Amino acid sequence: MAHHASHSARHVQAHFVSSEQQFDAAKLGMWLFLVTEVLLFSGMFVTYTVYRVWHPEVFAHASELLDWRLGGLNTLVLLASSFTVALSIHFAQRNEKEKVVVLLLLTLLCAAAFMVVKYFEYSGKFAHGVFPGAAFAPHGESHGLEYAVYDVPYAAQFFSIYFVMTGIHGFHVLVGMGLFAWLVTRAVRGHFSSAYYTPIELTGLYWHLVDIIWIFLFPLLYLI
Amino acid sequence: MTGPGPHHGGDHAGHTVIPIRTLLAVFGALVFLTIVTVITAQIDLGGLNIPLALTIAAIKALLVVAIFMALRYDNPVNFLVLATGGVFVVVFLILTLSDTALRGALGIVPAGEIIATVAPPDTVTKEHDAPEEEGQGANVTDAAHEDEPVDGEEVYTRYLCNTCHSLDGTTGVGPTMQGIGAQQSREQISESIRNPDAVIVEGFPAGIMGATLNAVRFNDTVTEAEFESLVEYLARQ
Repeated sequence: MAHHASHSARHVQAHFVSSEQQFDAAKLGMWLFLVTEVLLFSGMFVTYTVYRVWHPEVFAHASELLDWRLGGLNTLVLLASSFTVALSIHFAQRNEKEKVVVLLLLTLLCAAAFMVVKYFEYSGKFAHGVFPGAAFAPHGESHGLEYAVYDVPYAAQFFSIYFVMTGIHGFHVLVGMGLFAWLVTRAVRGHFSSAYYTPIELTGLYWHLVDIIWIFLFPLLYLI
Repeated sequence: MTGPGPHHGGDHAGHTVIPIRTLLAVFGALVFLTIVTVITAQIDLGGLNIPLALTIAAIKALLVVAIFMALRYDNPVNFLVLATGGVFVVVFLILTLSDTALRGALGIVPAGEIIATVAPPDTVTKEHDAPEEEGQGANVTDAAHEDEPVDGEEVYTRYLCNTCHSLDGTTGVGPTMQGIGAQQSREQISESIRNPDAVIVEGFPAGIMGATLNAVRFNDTVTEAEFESLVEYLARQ
């Protein structure tokens, strides 16, 4: 690693020796934060596991009500957004600033598409009385599924877990959208270059974690 | 700066620039694995479906962490942070499951029962001793019925249990309750009412009893005393 006289670089704060050190410190801080996120979601994954072990047949039965096509579509959308954000970092490192803007916008669009699909999923469930908690009262019929058949004990438990996990995950997606919108405005103003792209790098790490959470949620809730 | 393979460049001398080809390959692999997990989930592989789906998810997560999050090229301290978190997640999961999966039927003790067990012994023993002896065999005496605070038979018909479960050995929508007391403990009977689909008698459909209990609002309206009397009533059959 070469010695940089990057003291003078505008983005380096006084308490860091170099741009490099500042970048590494920021990234380590981000990883520490991501681990707390992992622990936050692990509480919900353990809850899911405990209830699934107690009532495996109910979980397998209730998951039929979730449409794997929509869940799968959202998986692909999130994977694509992970790819675009990784590409945006690649181009930031190569000082191709226009491409950075385009890729960050694409990422933002994917995140929005995810939320739109999620909106249709949620409203479809609410329309048939599939609510979290005590309000759970499935009724009606759609896509050849008789909802009342799913009104069995502990099915409400499955859907409470579904709504809480996807809800908190969806909240993370919304936060991500805010971050990407902010990054786009900064990228447009030419704030990022190969010398400084820390905000994209850190938001990218956050975004990949949101993607990973969904990678596990999709099979657990929709498929098995 | 344009050579193939991860390389260092720009002002950030230590930063790896991951080639587009690598990123594209990872994205392709992730899409491919998503398709595989969807297809394999449609096929009934018995007990293998869940481990397979989780293994595929783990591989996908590993790809994202190693390449997209660039942990493979990164300062090892970041990996250490993630791995430490991962270790604690595993500890969390194992310790929790070692309780919840192995604690037995603790969870089905009715709330009223907990208070009764801590009450002075002489107030409780009478009520409890008599039914327990009966439960051992077929020595069912009519006298025991007089001890019931709530009429279990009335509960049995009020919640429409009798419409599917006969008491005389004839098969209905559900299996007969004749002789159930000799075949099952109170805990098993209690669990079967609270969680009808946990154990399904062969040849009978799952889901119907749960749906019926919901339809008559059983879990919302039954009192602890009624529930216990119902279990007692069945244990005597």
